[in-house]
Amino acid sequence: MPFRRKAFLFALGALLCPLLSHAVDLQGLEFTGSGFMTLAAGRVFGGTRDAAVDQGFHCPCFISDYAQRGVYEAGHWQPGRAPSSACRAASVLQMVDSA
Amino acid sequence: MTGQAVSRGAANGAANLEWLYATVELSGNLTVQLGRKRLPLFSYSEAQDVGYALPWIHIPPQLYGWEVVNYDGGSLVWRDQWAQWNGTVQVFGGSETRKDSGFWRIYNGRSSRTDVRWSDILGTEPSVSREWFSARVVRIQSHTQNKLVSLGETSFSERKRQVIHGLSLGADVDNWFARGEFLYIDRRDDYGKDYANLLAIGYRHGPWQPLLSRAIYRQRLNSDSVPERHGTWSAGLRYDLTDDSAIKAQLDLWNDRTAPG
Repeated sequence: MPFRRKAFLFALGALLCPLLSHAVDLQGLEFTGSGFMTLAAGRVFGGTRDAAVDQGFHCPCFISDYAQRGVYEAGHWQPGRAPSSACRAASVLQMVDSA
Repeated sequence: MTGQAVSRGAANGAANLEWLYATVELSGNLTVQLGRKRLPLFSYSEAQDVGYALPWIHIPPQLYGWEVVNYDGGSLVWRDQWAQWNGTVQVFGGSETRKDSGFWRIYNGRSSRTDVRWSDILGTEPSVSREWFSARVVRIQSHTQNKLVSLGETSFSERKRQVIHGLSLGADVDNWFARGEFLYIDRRDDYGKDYANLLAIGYRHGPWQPLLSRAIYRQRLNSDSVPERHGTWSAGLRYDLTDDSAIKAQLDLWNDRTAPG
């Protein structure tokens, strides 16, 4: 019989875009900065677990992002696990034709 | 010529330089980019960290979960228009070494440390769109190596070849929108095959945007080991507060059908 593990995750997020956007002209070079931010929190409300595969995480747990090791663990509200809570800033430097 | 740097901070306060690349426009249709970029594994890869651009709070991990998401190298992008079709073809190549992979901490243990290397990355990503329809395919090949540092390994494992195939479809008809993504990774040279897919449907009603999605991941292994198999149902609701801010709520149900090891 296959093992069945379940996890219920509830997450809330506020998304802001852009945090800032500003352009500066530096003698033919234009610099632009911008940013994005996500504020999030989530909670695992229930589920089943298997101690053999918990790998040190407090389960039942919910993997929200493998690449960034984003894991919501059981028991309480947690700040967002990447990428559900992240800040990203981008800078663009562009050569401007002044002719 | 344009240069772009993108850094990323997370809940632990750390900031990582994710992208750093220069763009040179060779002609009206052709651009070349050199530096550190996001690997175009999926249709939302470039927007993966920008919550505002996504209908979910977090993208379903069954599809959007892999050990490498960036690469160092270059890409050549051709954009054109044929009748009412807009098209883009990207070819790219490079390599990536990821130290202390978050992906492998989930599998090897919370306190483990695994370094990952993808070398000889070579890929192509054609995409087309017309009115309400969009489609993209991607093919990426590379060699993969791991080094389990926390077990004392000092050199990377033998190089194993992988080939990644992806298909993404999108439809936006009136207030409805739907997305489908399908992924197949051939890693028979290593452990077997990976399959993942994502289906989503949503509706825009003024500032409200409800969404329902289903994502599945499953393996087929070379050996008699137990293949991983799980899926997530996600229901989300987005409310646009202003033109550049929104609030979302999401409920996920993860169902793991992996047989016990």
